[in-house]
Amino acid sequence: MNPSPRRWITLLIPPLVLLLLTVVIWQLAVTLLEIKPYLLPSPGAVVEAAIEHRGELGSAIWLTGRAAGLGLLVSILLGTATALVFSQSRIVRRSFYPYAIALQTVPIVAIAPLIVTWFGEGFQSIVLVTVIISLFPVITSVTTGLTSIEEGLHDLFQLNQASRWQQLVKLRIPSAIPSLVTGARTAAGLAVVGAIVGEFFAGASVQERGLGYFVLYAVPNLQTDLLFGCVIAATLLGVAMFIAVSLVGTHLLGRWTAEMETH
Amino acid sequence: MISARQISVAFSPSPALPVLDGLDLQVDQGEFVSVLGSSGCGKSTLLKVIAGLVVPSQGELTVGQEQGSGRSEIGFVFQDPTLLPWRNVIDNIRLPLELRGQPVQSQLDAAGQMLEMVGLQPEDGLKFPRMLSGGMRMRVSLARALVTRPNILLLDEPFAALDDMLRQQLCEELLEIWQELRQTIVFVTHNVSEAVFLSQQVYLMQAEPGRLVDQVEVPFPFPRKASLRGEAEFAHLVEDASGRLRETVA
Repeated sequence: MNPSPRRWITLLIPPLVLLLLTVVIWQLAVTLLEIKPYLLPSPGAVVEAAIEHRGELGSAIWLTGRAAGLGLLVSILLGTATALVFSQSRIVRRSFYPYAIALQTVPIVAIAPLIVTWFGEGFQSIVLVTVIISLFPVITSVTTGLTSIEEGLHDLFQLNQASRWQQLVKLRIPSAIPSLVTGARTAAGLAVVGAIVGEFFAGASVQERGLGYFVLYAVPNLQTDLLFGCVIAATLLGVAMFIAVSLVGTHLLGRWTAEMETH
Repeated sequence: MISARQISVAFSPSPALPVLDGLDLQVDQGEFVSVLGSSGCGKSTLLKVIAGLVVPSQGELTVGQEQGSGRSEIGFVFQDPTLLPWRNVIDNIRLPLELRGQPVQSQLDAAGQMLEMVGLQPEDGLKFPRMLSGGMRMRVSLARALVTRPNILLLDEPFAALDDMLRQQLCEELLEIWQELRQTIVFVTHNVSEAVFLSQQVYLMQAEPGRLVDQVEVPFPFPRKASLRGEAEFAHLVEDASGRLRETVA
């Protein structure tokens, strides 16, 4: 199940080579075509700007990461709880589920100002925006996991006259773990987006400034190099959250995954 | 033991085309019968009706002794092993007892006995389903069906996915278990030689609508050995049953 070191190398080398090529072409293009730094800074300039502002950038990553992490945690707990309710009552599921899907399409940028109006600027509103954007993938995939049980297993529990509670605890919940991991992975990426969007609207008045505020502050000053640094930092944060959730997921799924691969 | 009269089952999308229609089946206590039919003729539905998983739209069904205390225990071996991947072998086998709320120690004791009965080693008990071969998974599934000491055992093409050697070996082992425990067994299959080797009565099932149209009595005494498959009489009977099965399709 654990890829051997050799396998890791063959997995890592192609994307790393591509990255290196991109950076080289980028640098050459900026130098040879004499592109103005406020339009496209060179990779060197981006790194320089990032190092110059490393203190602020570091605390911004920490702040945004904290909001995204907390939002993700709330989404996973609240989403799982909602899915459990959905799985137990068909009428509740049929009434609410269409809205759960429809709400995913509400543009978060449009309602973020409303949240700031209601809950004020600051950490609580940023986390709330994060939850709103990352909650629904958890609800939908856990609900699917809890309700789509293999017919044979369902018959087995039926035959042994399992109570609803036994079916939930011994069959549905364990069956839904892989779906929970899938939902949480999607939610992890969205949580970073949510935290940054939240900071656009609710992060200005706070003493500590996250990546979203940094982006807003850097653009008007034509500090494009710093803006690039922020984008890269935000991307790395998203990737880190995704990897963290995946690692926890793989650990949790030790008993599940191999079984599913053989089918 | 099992008495089904004029059983009909229709599912909602096409009530005009019943899966089973006017099916009769009589199985005595301790009898081993096979139901032989082509794919999709409703064999699995028949087993589910006997198990109470599907309620017939018409007909009368009696399962178990009339006077007995409560319902009779039914063991069901599904087409797939249907093991819970997050539970090890022992925990899979004891599941039916766990659902009945038996004390844990007696669950574990019973599961250990069944593990041995189906030919698995004690150390296999701690393995997870993904670590087992197809044949071993089926043995676990059989052990789980036996753990409640059922007096009726229903098997739905349990060995269909296995290779021929293994299929024959498991058939022989199933017969040994039956001779020891003497449950009533209904074994569903599309394999003629398997049905003849195992059972005392072979019922032939036609499709659309599903009903039992013919039966072949298998006179060979028990215990039956693997060498029975090489005997001329066995070959004749398989030939006879195959011919009659073709007639049901025609």
